[in-house]
Amino acid sequence: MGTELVSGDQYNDLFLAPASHPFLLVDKAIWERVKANLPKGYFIPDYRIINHLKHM
Amino acid sequence: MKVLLVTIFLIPYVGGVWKYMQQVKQGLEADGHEVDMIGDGIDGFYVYGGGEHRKVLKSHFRPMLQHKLNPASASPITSDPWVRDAEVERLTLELSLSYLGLEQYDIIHAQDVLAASAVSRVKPAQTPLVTSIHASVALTIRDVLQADPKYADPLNSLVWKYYKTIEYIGGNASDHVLLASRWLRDVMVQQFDIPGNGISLIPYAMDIPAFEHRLNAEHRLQRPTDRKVLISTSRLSPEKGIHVLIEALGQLHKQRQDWECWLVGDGDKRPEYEQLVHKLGIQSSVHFWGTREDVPSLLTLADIFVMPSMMETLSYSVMEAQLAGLPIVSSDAGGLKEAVRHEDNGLLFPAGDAGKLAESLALLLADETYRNRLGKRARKWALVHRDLETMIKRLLQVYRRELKRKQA
Repeated sequence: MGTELVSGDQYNDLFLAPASHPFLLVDKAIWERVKANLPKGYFIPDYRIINHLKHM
Repeated sequence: MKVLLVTIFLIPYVGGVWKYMQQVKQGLEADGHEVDMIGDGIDGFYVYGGGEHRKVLKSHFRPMLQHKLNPASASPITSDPWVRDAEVERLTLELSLSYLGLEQYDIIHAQDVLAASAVSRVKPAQTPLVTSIHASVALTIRDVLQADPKYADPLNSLVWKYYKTIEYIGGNASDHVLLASRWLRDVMVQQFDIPGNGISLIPYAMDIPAFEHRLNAEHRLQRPTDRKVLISTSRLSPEKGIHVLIEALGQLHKQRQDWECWLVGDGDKRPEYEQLVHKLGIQSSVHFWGTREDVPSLLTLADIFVMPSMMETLSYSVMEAQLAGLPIVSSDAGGLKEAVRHEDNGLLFPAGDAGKLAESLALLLADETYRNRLGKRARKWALVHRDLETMIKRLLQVYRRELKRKQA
């Protein structure tokens, strides 16, 4: 079975304020599996780190 | 139980963390549990021994992370290339773990705070996360920054703040933290705000029967007939203090020449240390043996074991030397003074003090009876305090308690 490549923009909902990169292609099978396994509410970046850094 | 041991670092690797992971896997499997190990395989995170289908290439994730992490959403992380790269790697682990699947595990046991912080974001909520912190990543980075002239004010750098943050988040996101020494516990509580009541102390251990079998293996080196052998089995990297040992040997050589020192191990600093040995004129007394598989049997050829580390949680090398019945001359860095008790089963010297190290070596070289007494006591102590079965039992107690808590 061949690899299906899709635009990475299809997974922009995993990122906060992502820019559009329509020509950045990703392996759909890999990303669909990752997305299915991620907990609800998961997004990138990790705001625990950003908030802690901002308070230092 | 099905247990996952996970680290962001390379596996397999020459070093204490990998040794610990293998021991835990071996001990838990002997007790009937199933254990997977996940770590960095350079081009992808993978399940060790799991075959190609249990590996996922970093190249699936890195381009997206590099493009989608932007100043608008991820400042200040994106403002420093070191921090940005470190965070991309950590997020790559998060996505890789999601791909490899964490629902199958009853317990996840992270082996470093970077892995702990990654796991905590992507694991099922009901799965306990236990984290072993083997060394402070932040303090190791701090030492690197302080030695680098590019960093005029290391403790105000974003790099230091990032790793300090990871130490805090990794420790606090864990359901329980395991540490091997009181020294490291004090560091974690006082410097990184990890709650003391969420920490258990479980010292490292050895498979003593297997080690004793290796002690008796054939050795390919010959010991000198007319000189005593000092041996050090540390990696040749700055935090292991080999430069301090070499300086001490230079001073010792002026007093007496009835010894030679075997440096067993390798690292980036080897050429620099070889140069230092030549500069001090002790090249006929110091031998660099590189990495060797027969360390236990080499220990049987030695008279004194030297541990000159600048920072150490709890050393497997010292454990091995104690079981081999060698008197230990050790720095007092970190948790070393919890394993080596001064004038009881070894001699301690202030970390970095080549003069005091030379004095201790001269003292032991001059007194065979004292050497033998310290060596016997070192072995007796290790037999009592370094038993692997005990370590595994205590680990299982932690796992079961955390599972019960989550189920309640």
